[in-house]
Amino acid sequence: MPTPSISRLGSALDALAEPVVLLQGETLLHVNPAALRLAENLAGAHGNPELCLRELIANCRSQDAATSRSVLLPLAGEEADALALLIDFEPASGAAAARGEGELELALARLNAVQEQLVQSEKMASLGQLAAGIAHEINNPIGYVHSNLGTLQEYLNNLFGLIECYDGVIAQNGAMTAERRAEVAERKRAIDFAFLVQDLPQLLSESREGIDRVRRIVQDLRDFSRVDRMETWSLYDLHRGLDSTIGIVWNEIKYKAEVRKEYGNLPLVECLPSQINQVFVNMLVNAAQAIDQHGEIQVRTGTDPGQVWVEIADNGSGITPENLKRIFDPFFTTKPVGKGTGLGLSISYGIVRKHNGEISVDSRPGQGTRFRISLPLRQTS
Amino acid sequence: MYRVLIVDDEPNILTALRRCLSNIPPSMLDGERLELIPANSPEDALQLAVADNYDLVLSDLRMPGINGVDLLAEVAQRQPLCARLLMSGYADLSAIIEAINQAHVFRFIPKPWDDNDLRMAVVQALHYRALLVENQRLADLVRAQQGQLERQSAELRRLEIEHPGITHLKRDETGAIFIDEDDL
Repeated sequence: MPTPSISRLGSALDALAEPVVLLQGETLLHVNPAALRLAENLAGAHGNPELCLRELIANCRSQDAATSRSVLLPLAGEEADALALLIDFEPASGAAAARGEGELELALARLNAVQEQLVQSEKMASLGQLAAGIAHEINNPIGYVHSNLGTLQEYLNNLFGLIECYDGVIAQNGAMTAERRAEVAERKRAIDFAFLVQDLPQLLSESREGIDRVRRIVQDLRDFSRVDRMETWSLYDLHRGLDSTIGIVWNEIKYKAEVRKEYGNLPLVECLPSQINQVFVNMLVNAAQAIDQHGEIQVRTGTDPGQVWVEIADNGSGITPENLKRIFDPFFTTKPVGKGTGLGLSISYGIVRKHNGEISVDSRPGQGTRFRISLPLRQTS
Repeated sequence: MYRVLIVDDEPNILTALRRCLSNIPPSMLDGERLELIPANSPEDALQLAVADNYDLVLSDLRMPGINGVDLLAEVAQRQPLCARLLMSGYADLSAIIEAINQAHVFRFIPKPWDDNDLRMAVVQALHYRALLVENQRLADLVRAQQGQLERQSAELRRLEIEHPGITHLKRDETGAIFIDEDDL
């Protein structure tokens, strides 16, 4: 008789795409839909699916595991031969084992792809949360450059008017009569020529500064949002990564904290640059969010034999010991709904591990938190 | 002269706004000119608003320390007649709701702004403020006149009680004042 645990197991097996049969001795305890479909296919329109299944099971028992596409597995906690799982059958053949290995590789590749997607979507989620700040950072310079261009247009119209006035003088063989002189002087006064001469270069240099800022932000964004699958391991200047990352999150930080950089002398590090930058973004945003009123964020770098380290420390609220144990858990967050995915630190952890590095944290409630990321200089393939 | 306080933590925005607003023709401002006073931080702006009266405050939303909504709400409390405009490069719905409900802003101006729209917003805000001021002046006037009227009619009532009929003139056919001896 099926026990409650068997029926629970059975309903779990029903969700699998692979054919699975539960056996007790010769009794079929449970056949999942995939196995049923397979048996019906093998039996054809007029055959008996159950007989086909039993034939497969008998085949499997008589052959050794290496050549069979089906496996009998003893179920843990039960008598060894009492319950078994029969998985994955197709008619056995010599190439089957090799194919099995290929499928494993396929599954691994698929898992990796899913993980890449997760990393990418977390990055996009954090970008989405930064969008308000980035929009502000971009719209400010665009705002004044746009307005300055309008002013420039008016200045130019004024200057063109003045040139016309001088043209009138030239048309009279350059004779500067007192009347003409007065007209030019009047026009200069009307357009506030003295102010215009002083303001125009200032207007241009401010506008140029604005355009430079927009360009820098766009560059930072591009560095950050590069699609990783296209990216290869490369030698990267971590200071450049830190600086462009600080640029992206600047609007989250600048009203909350001073950033103090203490950069050591770092060699180039072999890494996936945009993934490492994603780690920096998470650290910096967390640091800024931990600060309630106004504080300081320290960004320090340095070297140890064979590796480099980056420390990002804040003097914010700190993390309680019971939360500290869970900060790298996926979906663990203390932020209000919509403010955090709970994936930032867990993905950062994954990224650093992928680089064969380490990430450690030191936090005291009320005093602040310090994250330290150590990365090896080179990856041993 | 209209006094306009401009608040932004970004100096280049302040100069651009000054260039843009100093170009409003006086004809659109009832012949008045604008005096533009820049404040580089909300704290500076608050100090200026405590010390002096302004006709209009134009403030950025995201600034260090005090945000634009809180600044304008504070200004509204101190100078209720001062017109308030809020600017922002990014506004989610909650920021706009706060701006309307707490700071009662006259206009919300997005960044980047359109120069003409901004000038129009400033002109309209100043007109609106002028209407409020005029409205208040007229209401004061009405109240003062009503007070005077009430005093006069009280005096009339008193006289009538002391000398009944004194407030009513009777005239005969020729227009001469008719005095009834019985009333005296």
